[in-house]
Amino acid sequence: MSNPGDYFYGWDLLYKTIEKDINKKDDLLIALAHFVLTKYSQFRCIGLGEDKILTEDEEVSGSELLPDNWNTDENNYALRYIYDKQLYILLGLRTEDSLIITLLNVKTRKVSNICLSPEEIVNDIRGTITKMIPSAPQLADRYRRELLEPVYQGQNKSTTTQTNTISTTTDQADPLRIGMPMHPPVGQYHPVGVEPRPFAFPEIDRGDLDPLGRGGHGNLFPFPSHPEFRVGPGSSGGMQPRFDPYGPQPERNLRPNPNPDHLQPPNFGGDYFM
Amino acid sequence: MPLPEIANLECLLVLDTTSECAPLHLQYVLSSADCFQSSGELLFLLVYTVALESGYMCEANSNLSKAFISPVPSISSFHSKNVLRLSRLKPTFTASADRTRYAMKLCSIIDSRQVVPEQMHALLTAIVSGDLMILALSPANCMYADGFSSVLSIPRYVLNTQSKENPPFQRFRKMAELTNILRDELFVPMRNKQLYWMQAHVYPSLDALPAELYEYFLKHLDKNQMNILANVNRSLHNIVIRNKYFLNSDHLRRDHLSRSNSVLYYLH
Repeated sequence: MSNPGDYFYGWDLLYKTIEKDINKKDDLLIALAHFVLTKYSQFRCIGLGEDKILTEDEEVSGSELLPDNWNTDENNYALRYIYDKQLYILLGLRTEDSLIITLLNVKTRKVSNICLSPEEIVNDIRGTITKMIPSAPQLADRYRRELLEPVYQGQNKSTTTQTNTISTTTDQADPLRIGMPMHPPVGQYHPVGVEPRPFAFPEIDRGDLDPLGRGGHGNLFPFPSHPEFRVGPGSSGGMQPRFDPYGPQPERNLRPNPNPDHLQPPNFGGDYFM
Repeated sequence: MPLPEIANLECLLVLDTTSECAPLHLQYVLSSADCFQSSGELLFLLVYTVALESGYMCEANSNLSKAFISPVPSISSFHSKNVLRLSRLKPTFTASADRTRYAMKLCSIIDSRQVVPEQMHALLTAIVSGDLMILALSPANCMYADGFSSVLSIPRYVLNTQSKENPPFQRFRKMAELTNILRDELFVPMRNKQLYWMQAHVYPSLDALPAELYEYFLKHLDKNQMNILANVNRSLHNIVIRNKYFLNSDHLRRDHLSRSNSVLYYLH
């Protein structure tokens, strides 16, 4: 069972729909790639195959489910996705001990790939996600980083030769670094097991983007559990959205912080300028 | 078997290919192909030939070729005799029944004594999807590193014309563009990554000289200049502070240039 705040919430539902179809470890890796694409990047699957033409009715159809017969080919997978009215094709190729997954943006011709070893990554094809793939959070992060980012954010990771050699240094501890790398503040929402990115900006207002309001309720009031729920200033600590009181306020006889200049001083005869 | 003399010195690499001539090693690679070969398969053989020129070989041939392959230093990748000899060996790759999926295990030729075999391996895969060929070059799985990929338009480089009289290379167009794309996007970055894992220096530079050469010019520097050199990067810092000319100089008196970078002094 996973908690609502869990990164893999929704996986059980997807797995239930494909449980009977899965017959090899590679299937599970493709299903996880599909999950990462549809759950966190709002890709929607529009069918099987490699057709590069996107029709009008395909632009509005689209599902988070895997289509039927998605894994009937022994050695190949080909799935079509739509995101932001653009067509993407996810291809999987099984070689003797590897699975190569490729994601192609048909319009821009940007492509990314990831090469995995199913025998090492997948323990079992039945059970909970952590039982089947113990390193599932890290794998999901690899999907995001190696498969998605080069293709759909428009960032081209295959840059010049020199930057490619330097890119691996971020993995090692840097003795010249002063202080700790910037982590996103504790308590903010991020998937379990995700490594803090070097120089990551703190995820302020992350709660605004999340419909369930995790990571703080951002600049909105928390979702009222009761229709007459009234929020006043000071209901929860920290930054508060602006609240203008409405309706009759409770009467106060005592003036807080009495101002000594409110009334005239005793024995006052003249004006203030003499 | 001795190597033949190259008749046309204007046509040495794949990028020099024209409809009249093709380099010798490309002709050897294509000798197994016939004029009715599909464009996709011909393009895959072209990709393999550019891989040979970029310092790779078929991993299946590595045992056979150990006897005659010359080691390639990290600062270069093209060795004409290696390429000619390897091109005579039949390339080993797996292809799907419908000839739309290809996979070949490659191995970088690197002159390095501390070589872990997995660091040199790379898997080249090609998926033919309509007019497109999607290539991926992936390091060995145990390295957990990113791979590289590229998309090619097949008819742009290999025409669909099939003629019994003409050799296959007459179907090729824009070979210079193809070579540049393959080298820039796949073969050079992967090779550089592999060299980095082996801590081999990719380009000749000030901090990539053999250790014994530093003696020769450090003795001409005064202590101020040695401080400046030591502050360039970690590698040069370690080289300078261990050198006897630096140790013999009065390095305890810190001048204003090195004070701001004094953290480097403690990184032995």
